[in-house]
Amino acid sequence: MLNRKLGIIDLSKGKVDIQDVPLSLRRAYLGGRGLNIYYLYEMLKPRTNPLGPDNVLIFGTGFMTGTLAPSSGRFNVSAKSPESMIFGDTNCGGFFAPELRYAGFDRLIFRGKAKKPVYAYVTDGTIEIKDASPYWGMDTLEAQQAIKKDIGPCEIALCGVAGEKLVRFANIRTGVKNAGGRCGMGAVMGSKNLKAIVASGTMGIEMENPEKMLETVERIKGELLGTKIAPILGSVGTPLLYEVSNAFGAIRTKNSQLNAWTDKLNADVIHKFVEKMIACSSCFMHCRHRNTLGGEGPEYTALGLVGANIGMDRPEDVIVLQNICNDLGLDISSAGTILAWAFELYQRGMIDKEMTGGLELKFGDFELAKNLLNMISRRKGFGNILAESTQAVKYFGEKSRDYLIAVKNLPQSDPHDVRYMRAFALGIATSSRGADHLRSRPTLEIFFKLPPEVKEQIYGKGVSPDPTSFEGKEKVVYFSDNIFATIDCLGICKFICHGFNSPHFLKYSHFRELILYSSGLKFSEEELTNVGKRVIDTERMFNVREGVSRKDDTLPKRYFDDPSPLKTAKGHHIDREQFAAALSRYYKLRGWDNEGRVSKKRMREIEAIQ
Amino acid sequence: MKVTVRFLKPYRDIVGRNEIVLDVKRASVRSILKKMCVEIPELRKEVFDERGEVEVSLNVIVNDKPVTSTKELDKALKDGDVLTLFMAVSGG
Repeated sequence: MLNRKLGIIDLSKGKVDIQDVPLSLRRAYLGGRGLNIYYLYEMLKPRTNPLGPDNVLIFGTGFMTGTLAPSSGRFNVSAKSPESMIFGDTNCGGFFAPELRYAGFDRLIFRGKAKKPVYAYVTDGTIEIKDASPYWGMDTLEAQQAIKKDIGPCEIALCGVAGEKLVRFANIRTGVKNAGGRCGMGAVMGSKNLKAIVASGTMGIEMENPEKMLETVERIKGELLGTKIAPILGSVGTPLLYEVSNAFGAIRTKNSQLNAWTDKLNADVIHKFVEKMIACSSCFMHCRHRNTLGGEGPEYTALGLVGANIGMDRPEDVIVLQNICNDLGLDISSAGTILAWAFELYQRGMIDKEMTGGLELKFGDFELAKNLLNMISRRKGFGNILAESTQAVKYFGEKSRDYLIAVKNLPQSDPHDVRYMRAFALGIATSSRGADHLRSRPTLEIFFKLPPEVKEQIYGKGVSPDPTSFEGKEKVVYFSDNIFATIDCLGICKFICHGFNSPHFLKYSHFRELILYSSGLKFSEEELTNVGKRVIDTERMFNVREGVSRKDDTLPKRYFDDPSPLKTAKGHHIDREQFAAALSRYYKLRGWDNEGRVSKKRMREIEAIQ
Repeated sequence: MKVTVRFLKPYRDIVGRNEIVLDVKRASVRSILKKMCVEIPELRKEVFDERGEVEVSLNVIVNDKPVTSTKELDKALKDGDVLTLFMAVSGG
């Protein structure tokens, strides 16, 4: 279990170095997102060009990845982001990460830049750098098929042409749909002439106590499948959320000018385009769809971002657009946000046909959206400007920022308009990679009737049950931040994490058992919480080094200044003073100063870890 | 007085309708839920847990305000109130 190696690949020199990972590091950071930020902070100099050869690109599997632990097929990819220009990190499911572990590795670090397109071939303890020129110029589905035809059975993580063209929100893909979507990690691959990592392995992962591991997994499976949410997620997936959010008035619509949209994207309608439900590696929830239009998905995020947010009201159009994003290797969250931004700017007369190359931009135009996605991936015409993501401000003008739904230059990930749910708003403002819901989505906030004593047990005293109040919500975000960071280190999916969809899902006590029986390592619940805190502090240290400060932990102007116009959320917006007070309280909980800096004592403690 | 109950998925799947309008003398959220479960027994296991308490995963909005405590389940409803039932779920 603990004998998987670290591979450090210098693409400039064509050299591979294989190392052991010290136990002390595994104890401090476990794996996944945690060990990634450890190495990134150590190896990357501040102010490095994220699309230059000195950026460091790390693929890291979770501590539990490839074992029987439920939903444990995940990996993180980390580097400096070319989209946000700060810490970049993305998490991905599917089958690639377990295969990488079966091939003998749990982490690969890429440095430098290859002279011509290459891929890394990883199999049973070895890493070879091979010529990828036959696959360069292929999008993600074609490239995977071509590689598998040449090599045989394998799992692949790769970038599409969007990555090759350094589109700032190019993602990393594996399989038909799984994506390391956020932060432009596909562009970092492209900048290194790295087309793919191909893994094929036969090295089993030995469990410390196989009987207890099996027994524990069986018990956890029963607990998970016995919840109310598991059968629902497993039968319709995340599109279920669309109707709920819509009823509330919490769907980002037409660049958040509106907050509710058509019922035609409800789960019942979407399900008519679903062939079957499928799963990632070792997952009982099977919440993913194989659709009848040639791809997999859609998730709720797609229904929001390339649906409501760009004015699409036909489910088949939305599914095709998300299929296209997946094939091209474009992050759906950024694509939908940037398109909507451009459409509103055009609507307001802030950009015109001279900028767009003659294109008339409007919401709800399927052919336009399809063409723009293709143009973005190839950096053609107006697509070249949109490919710059939030950095297109340099073309659109500073005033365009007023209409940009992003934090720390990362477009908001999820379709939730957070003007109603104050804890959600604080979460996306403080997320280490920018406006992202998966760092700390404190979902228990939507269990409106969660008994006060249960809430107190989880968060401590003083958390208001009112979702529109900031009172105590720093505790909610803090708890969620910490547990999600720990679960990202384990490589386990947040969908089964306590605090994400059910108070009955996996807690620290479950993590302890899974770690003990798989590896023999003993952790207390406090130690596991501390792993999460250590990861968040290290990410903050990285970001502060890149110039992030309190002013960057903020929200889009629209969320402060424009009240939501529709439904239950009507009239709600974020009060700047209340937000600022909650942010200060959050910093205090973290042990950061009022500018959001990690204390020097804590920095020394973290930097001493070797 | 008339109280409308709207169902989002998955409750709509069990009830078979988007909404039901009830004519009652007086009502609270809890009494409406109990009445619904008498009329549609399949709904019971989704609405009430083994202890007879309202399931924590069931959310209720009354007009535009979410019910945020078990105490509010027993507050008197008014003529024309609209209850929306939906499951607490998040994701991506």
